[in-house]
Amino acid sequence: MYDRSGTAEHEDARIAADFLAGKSRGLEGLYAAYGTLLFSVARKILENGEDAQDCVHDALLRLWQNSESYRPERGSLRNYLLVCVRNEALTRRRNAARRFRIEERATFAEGPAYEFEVSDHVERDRLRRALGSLPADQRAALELAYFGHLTHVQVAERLGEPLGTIKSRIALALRKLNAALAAPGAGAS
Amino acid sequence: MSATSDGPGAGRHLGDLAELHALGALEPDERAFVEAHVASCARCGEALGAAEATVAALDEAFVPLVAPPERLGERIAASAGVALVRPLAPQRAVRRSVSPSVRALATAAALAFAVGIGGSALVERNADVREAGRQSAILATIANSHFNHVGFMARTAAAPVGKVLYARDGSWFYVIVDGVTCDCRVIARSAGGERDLGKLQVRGSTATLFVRDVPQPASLELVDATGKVVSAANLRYAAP
Repeated sequence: MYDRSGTAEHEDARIAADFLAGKSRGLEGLYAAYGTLLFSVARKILENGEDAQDCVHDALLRLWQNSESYRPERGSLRNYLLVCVRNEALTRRRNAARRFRIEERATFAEGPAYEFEVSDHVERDRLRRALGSLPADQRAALELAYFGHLTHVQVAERLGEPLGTIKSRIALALRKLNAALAAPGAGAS
Repeated sequence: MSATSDGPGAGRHLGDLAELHALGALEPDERAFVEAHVASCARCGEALGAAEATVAALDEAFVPLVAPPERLGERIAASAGVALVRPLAPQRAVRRSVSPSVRALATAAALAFAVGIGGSALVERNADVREAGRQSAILATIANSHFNHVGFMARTAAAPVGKVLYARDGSWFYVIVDGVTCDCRVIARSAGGERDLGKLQVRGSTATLFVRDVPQPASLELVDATGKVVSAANLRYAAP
């Protein structure tokens, strides 16, 4: 049996140490290891490659220049950076939507891009099962937040439920997914 | 449940805001509150970290991967003001459907390799006629097949650069790795378990392994002598 998670965690820790120390190899290692996923998340949210580049550039530079904003006890640098890029992309999307109704844009401004397969079929199937086992109201709220890129206020408006109820449903759903991931083969309940 | 807050406010814990922040479902003022709070609250920092890990898992599972343009790495390096030995580039190569032009190039390369056109260094190194014949047969198989190719995604800093060419129907796999310094084996992983396909065969600065009759693994992994997975490639096949 190969220690996949241990290897990845060790590598994440080494990259984080170099990056936080301001070493160029830290930036190089971080971009090499996470660049594709960061860009893909930004592009998925913004539906535009040029905007996604700006988003990843700004998020990475902000962290490079202010690495104290990341605290290792919080979790991995990789996950932190993913959330930074996600929040940056969502801010840009929402700002653009206010100005241009970005949701109605159907085409990319860039040339052809080449998608390859999602990274892990096993994890995807496990998450799908976990999502499928959530109570319908929790799943609906979580899906609108994650896949629909909506704020909790927008989710509440969309579902016609009180804001506090929606916040609880989303949070509870994500905690159940977390528990399902921690227990291989288990679904959420 | 120790968290007590449903909204921004001094002296309160994050409560549901941790998960909402990780999902990007908060308004800007709420985000600022969360970041300020976790800077001084280890308990909420831990909760936020768990939520971030879950959202990262969702991203890995559901976001189609798209390689960023080369210019993004150059731009980041320039803005960061760092001098790099190599350009910033993600280690996972872009997987493309193989176009006719690529197939033509592959065919030409295979034929050049097989007959030694152009002073191929690899052919020169493989003076052994039987080995050259074996390579010719492999490359002829590749040249006459519909195939996909995908790069290995590094799991360690020292991971070599490599890719897999494989038949769309999964009937063969050709692993090519540059700069191999480790004693690597190739492991096929599928829902049914894992299978050791054998050791990479090093020739000069390149190592390869050609295998047939592996029942469509979901991924191939390069494993070093200590058993660590140094890189992996996910595969997909044409519908039957």
